[in-house]
Amino acid sequence: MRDDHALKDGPGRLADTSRALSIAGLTKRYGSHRAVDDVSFAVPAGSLLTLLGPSGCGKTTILRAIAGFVAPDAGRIEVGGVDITALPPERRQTAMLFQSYALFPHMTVAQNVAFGLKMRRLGRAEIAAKVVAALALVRLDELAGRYPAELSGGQQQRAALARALVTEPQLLLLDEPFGALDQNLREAMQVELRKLQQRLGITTILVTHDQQEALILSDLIAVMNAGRIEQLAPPIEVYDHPATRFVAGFMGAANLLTGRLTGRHADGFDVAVGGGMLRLPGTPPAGDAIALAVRPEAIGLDAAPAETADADGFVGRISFVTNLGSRLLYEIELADGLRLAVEEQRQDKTRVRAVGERVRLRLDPHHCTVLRG
Amino acid sequence: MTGARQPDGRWLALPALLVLGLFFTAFGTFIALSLLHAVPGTASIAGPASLDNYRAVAGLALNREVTLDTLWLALQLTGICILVGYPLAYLMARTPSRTVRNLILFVLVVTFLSGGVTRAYSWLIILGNTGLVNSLIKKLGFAMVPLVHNRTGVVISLTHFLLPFFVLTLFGALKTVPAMLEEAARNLGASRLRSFLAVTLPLSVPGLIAASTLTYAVALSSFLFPALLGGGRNPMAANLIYMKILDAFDIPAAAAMATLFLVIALGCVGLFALVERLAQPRFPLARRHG
Repeated sequence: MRDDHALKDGPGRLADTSRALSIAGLTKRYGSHRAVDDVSFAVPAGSLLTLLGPSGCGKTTILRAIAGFVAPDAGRIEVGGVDITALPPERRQTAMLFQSYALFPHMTVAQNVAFGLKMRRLGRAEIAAKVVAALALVRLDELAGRYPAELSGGQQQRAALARALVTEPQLLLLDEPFGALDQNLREAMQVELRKLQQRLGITTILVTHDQQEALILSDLIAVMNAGRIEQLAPPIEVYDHPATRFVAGFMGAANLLTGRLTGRHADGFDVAVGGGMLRLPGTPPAGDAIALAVRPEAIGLDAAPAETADADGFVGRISFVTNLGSRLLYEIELADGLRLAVEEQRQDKTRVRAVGERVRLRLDPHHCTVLRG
Repeated sequence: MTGARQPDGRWLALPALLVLGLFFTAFGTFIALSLLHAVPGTASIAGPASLDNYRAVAGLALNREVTLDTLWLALQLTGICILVGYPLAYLMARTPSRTVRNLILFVLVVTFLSGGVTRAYSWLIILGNTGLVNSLIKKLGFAMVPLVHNRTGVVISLTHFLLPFFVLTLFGALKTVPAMLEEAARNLGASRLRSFLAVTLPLSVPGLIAASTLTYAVALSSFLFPALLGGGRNPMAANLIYMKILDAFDIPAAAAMATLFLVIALGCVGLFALVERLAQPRFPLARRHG
């Protein structure tokens, strides 16, 4: 446990509602293009919400609107119940961590961290104490006197984080903060940032296009597409049960199947898919065509006995094998030409199936997600 | 064996040395000329070599006055360019509107490319006693303000002449200061003005000094505008040298004057370089993240 009391003893810290964010009907147009289209969401105090989506989906515009750099055409932004929509950036208690850190190159690390405190006209001694505490928090105490150009990428990021946190903001805004780091460092920094965020209990908005990053860091994920939120849910929910085809595709490597509704029952409905029949729980969406997402790791494989006819459903041939060491990825071609990805855990004794082997797929109805929209 | 097939790097400097040699030959001829004498009543120049011309040039009070005045005027003009040009360069570097940037750029480049004589006469028409500005002043019921054949006309026309040098140089430098740094400052609680003063201004100092040095050097060598808009009563150093040649037909004396002024001007530009070194960023240059 590092010394971070100086950051924590501000009035009313941790999970109070004065740090909850609420956005209602946010809209931003550039010409006729709606960059953000009537977006509403709420983030409980102390939570981390990720705006996840491809470039141009409007996620960065929302973040910049929260920081005050973009004036929305419509909508309200509230922090702790106070409307901040019309406030200039410098009067908002938001701290942004920029993608390329935006450290001031002509100031040392300590001067960078002190900048926000100086703007708030704190006393010299108080500034010095807070700077020391903030640098200790991100383990940069040794490098306080260095200039940004003398730091590595990871150190620059920690300096920028200290500069953002030292002002005890109501909101921490992270704009693709790991994009400039290499893979190993990125994962380490993601875990470190998440621990810090949870320890300080600071309400945080993260913008990223990396679904892995969103899964590691978030309490809530809002998957965005074309200026709108397609799904807002906890990470596991988004991962296991994507709401739409777009979310399923964006969250990665799910098998997307299209089936036909063939019957309804008291406890579910039947769907004809992949040459077989699945009984799914719940109520079917409107229409006959049913879109399904199935995770590669949710499909089981059995050797298909020689006498099984292709027509029995879910029978196919292995058409490609990728061995990733801890996992095996099979590409399976069903009788009707449909290709599915199947993932198996692999251990020392696991037999690797060969290309051409006939297999039968086990689809657990509880792991098949019906996509709506 | 360091690259037996590689051409000797020293030969690559040859073209540059030839060009420099040509320049220095011209300067050399010029300085040699300044040591000789014009034979009175003739166009010929004769020896023996002496420093008499320098003594005569330095001894004349008018020469000293005009030289000091030229140095001072150039400094004033540089100051005006900083006041007018910095906001313009800043606007160009920061405006999100491509149209605004291109419009300013277009106006500056057109100014740059249009001939000096044309522009000087345009200013005479605009600023003259019956010109655009004064007819407007008269319409408003005020007394006519003399704007040409005096220092005012010289300053206005020279500012117009110098501004593109200043703005285009500073614009290039300001573009390399990321706008994101200002956003970061505002995000940390700095007003628009404070984020400019604390971040953009200090980071633009090297560019500001480079632009000022260029402007100052160009201002020192002004000839056309003081000649045409100064009404002969506001000569700068170059005008005085020209008069020496045309009126007195004393080429060696003019050469001595020019040489002396060149040395003084180089000294003043050198002062800018010194300021630049003092203001040189003590921080290491930013490197790309990655």
